Amino acid sequence: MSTQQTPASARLEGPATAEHASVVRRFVASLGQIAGLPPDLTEDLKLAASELFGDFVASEGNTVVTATTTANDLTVRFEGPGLIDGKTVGFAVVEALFHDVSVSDGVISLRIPLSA
Amino acid sequence: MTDVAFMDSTGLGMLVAVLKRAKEAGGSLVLSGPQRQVRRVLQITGVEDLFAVAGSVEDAAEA
Repeated sequence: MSTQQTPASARLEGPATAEHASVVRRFVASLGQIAGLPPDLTEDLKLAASELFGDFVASEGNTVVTATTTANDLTVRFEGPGLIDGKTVGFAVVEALFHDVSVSDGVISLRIPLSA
Repeated sequence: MTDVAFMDSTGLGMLVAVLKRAKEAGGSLVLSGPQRQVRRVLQITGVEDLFAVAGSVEDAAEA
């Protein structure tokens, strides 16, 4: 896996294989901590990442996780192989965890407001 | 389950399968000492009432 980071964004790309799930979880957990998310919300972000990555693992190919932080929010985008139709159990869990979830052209975006 | 620091719906699916098999065999399944994150998954998926929870293995054995 490779990472690229700027002050406002970070990107992780790697194979959508089960053994990389923990890497993705640690990546988003670090992003959550850097963005100042409360610990409980960071745990929810880890769970969401695991659910979405688990859906991608069903297919072969690379997964890209990109996070962008602004003064107002943290947006985490998941891109990966396979058809994401919003009907998986994992996606339902993500929707239960976060209110602002969107799917477009195979990219899932989570927007998490940051407290002032 | 005190050493289980993380679980997602894949792990939950396994727990449900084990619970089903245990019940079919006339037994039961008690989760001992689940950490906060595991309890969160049970809660968010709405299955927390399916599982008996105990604070320790000893308490689970007595449940």
